[in-house]
Amino acid sequence: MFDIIGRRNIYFLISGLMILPGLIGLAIWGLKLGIDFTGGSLVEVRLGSNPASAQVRSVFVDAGLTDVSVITGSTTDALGKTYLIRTKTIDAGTKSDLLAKLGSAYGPLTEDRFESVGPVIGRETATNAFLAVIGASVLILLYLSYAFRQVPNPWRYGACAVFALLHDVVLVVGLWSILGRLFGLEVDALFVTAILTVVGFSVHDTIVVFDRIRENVSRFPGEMFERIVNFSVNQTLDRSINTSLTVILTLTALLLLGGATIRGFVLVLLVGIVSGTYSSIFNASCLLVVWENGELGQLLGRLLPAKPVVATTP
Amino acid sequence: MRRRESITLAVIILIASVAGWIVWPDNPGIHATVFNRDIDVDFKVVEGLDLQGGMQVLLEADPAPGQELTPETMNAARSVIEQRINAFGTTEPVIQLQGQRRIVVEMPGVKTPEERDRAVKLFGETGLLEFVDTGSTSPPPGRPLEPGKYPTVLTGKNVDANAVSVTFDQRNTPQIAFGWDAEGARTFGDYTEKNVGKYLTIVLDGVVLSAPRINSRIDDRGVITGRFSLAEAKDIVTKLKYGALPVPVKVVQQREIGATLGQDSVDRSITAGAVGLGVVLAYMLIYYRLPGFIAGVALVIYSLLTFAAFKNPWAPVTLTLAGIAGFILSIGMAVDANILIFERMKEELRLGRTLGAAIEAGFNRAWDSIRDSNISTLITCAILYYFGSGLIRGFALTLALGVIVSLFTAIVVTRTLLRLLLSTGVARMPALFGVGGVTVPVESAKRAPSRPDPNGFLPAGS
Repeated sequence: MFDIIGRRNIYFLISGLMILPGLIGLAIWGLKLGIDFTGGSLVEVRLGSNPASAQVRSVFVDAGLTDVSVITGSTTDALGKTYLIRTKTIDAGTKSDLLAKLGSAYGPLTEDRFESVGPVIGRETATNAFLAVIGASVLILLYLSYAFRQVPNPWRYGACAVFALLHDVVLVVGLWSILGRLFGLEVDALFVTAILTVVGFSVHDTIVVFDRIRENVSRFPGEMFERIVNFSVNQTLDRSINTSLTVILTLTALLLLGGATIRGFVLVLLVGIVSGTYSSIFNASCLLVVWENGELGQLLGRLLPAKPVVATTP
Repeated sequence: MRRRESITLAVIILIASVAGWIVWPDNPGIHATVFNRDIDVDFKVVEGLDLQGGMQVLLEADPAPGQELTPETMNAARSVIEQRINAFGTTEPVIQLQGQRRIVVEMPGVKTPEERDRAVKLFGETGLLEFVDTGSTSPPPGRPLEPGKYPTVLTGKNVDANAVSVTFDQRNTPQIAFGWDAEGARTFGDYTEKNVGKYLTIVLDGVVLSAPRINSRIDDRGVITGRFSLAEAKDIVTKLKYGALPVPVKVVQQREIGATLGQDSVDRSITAGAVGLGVVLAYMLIYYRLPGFIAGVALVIYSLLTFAAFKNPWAPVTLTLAGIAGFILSIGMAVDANILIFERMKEELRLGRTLGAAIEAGFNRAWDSIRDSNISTLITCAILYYFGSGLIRGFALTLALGVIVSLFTAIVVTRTLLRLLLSTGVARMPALFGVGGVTVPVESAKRAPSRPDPNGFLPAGS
């Protein structure tokens, strides 16, 4: 049996170290928001004569558009190289005129995609995404408080599960900030879907562990809570790892073989699910013990690296 | 006991066969006449725009100052737009109200830039037709008419929709024939009789279509001439037939996706799904042996049922790329219930229970965890569905459907198969259950030495 709860401070520290770079990234660069949130237009075309992206950009800038960015795709097929052009919101008519110019200069032109999102819609999507994460957290907290109503302090279980899920959300969002900086990955509506799926999965994982704790608490009355939790985590370890592994296997298949358009989406899921597994084994249960032991106040002090870590297990 | 299981098995096989038949790619559907009632059911996958290409437009009501926006107004606007799109003639359009002031229009059939430009015009104009008394002046066609300068005699409200059509003059130029309802005919007859020799200007959404001279009294039939192309004439007829939009709308979001991008993504996702399913099957078989094999059978049935549910003819699930990802993800999550049960079974076996008792205990004890964890996933799906739009909703729906179906397959199907196998006596070797260290499922307890035992895990005094 692994002594997981006894080494909880190490696991809290690892979590802290995993999250820290993302938080720094968020503080410095923020998130690279896609047009789903900011509003704007996106045109994807293939151009037969493979011009440089600056040449494509100048067609749009010459037409008086601001904030134009052009990204060239990595693949080139018989119809030419792929170009992703972003501008402020333009309507279909303006787009047709611009593409006609672009086609006559660097054609033949194939139009693959046009998306245009008004600024109002963008703000709404951002608000809804925020509300969705909050709403899911609150409902899960309520449901868990209900499901664990027979143990003392049921809402602590809910709170710890929500803490674990926020851990995963922060980790993924932070990672995305860094990836956005390095590879230009954007935050879009799909990203929010992925985050919420991670939320669902993380809670799913945590509940299985908590369920075992609930069962063992009634089976071994009078036993130290800490030892019951450690035993429960060990009992569910095989299951946690196996379940995560099957999900990771399917997602890896999707990442390697699926289309390029959902690659970012799958990557968020993959990182989030690994983090969700970690947080439900190492964070949620440990936090529950810390709380039940009444050590919550001390914990913050202990996490400071300057002080030596003293294990409290007997 | 065995008899009950056999019946359940028969039901499962029946359901799986029906699902398999529905999922079959060339499924012909059901077309028959039973007791004089025609049955026409098709089982088709409804592909989202990101898969089949096409155009999606989000419209928002833009009421004039002082105009009240009621649900009735929005419903009326929706049906006008629907009629216009149907007359436009595109395959399988989807027109839905979203929220209180928005309408989503999806037109998978609209693929060329020319079609897109025409389609956008269907929403951009409200279709207000006016017959304006311009006295002795004849304003040039194609130009806007100064609002309020001339009195309006009649509007499109009095046009008889059944009498509107495209016709051709002697030189084969398209023109628009129209007719009036009773009230319109009276007003029009009186007016034309009094104003012979004057000009009657026909205005659509503020722009002059034509300004013919009144030669004689006209009662209930007339023709609008102008420099229309055939397509333009058809679109004008559509607007006249189906009336004006009760509230002006504007395009707030627009997506156009080429079909090639879609097809490529579908093929890749299907490959990925098949490989993912295969890897999970292999993993379960290696790790859990016989129960793993049974979980694999349950998983295949799960995939068939879920996909059959997508193709249901009453409320088909629109399959998007995100939806496929949700489906593939749910395969991974569907196994979770089985993993929970099997781990529990292993524990019970190690405690020395007989196979039969271990199987029952595994199912009973794992149920709490399965229920709580799946309800939390369903809560997330509900939130996603509530806050999300098109793409996200598809994902939430497929994931939720997967969770519900997986509860059936992972519990009912697996349990029935395990019980039946047990009763045949094939499954009496613990090795088939992946439990090392236990040789025979005898009644006496025999523990795996390296494993924790709940009864001894907390030695007194430590």
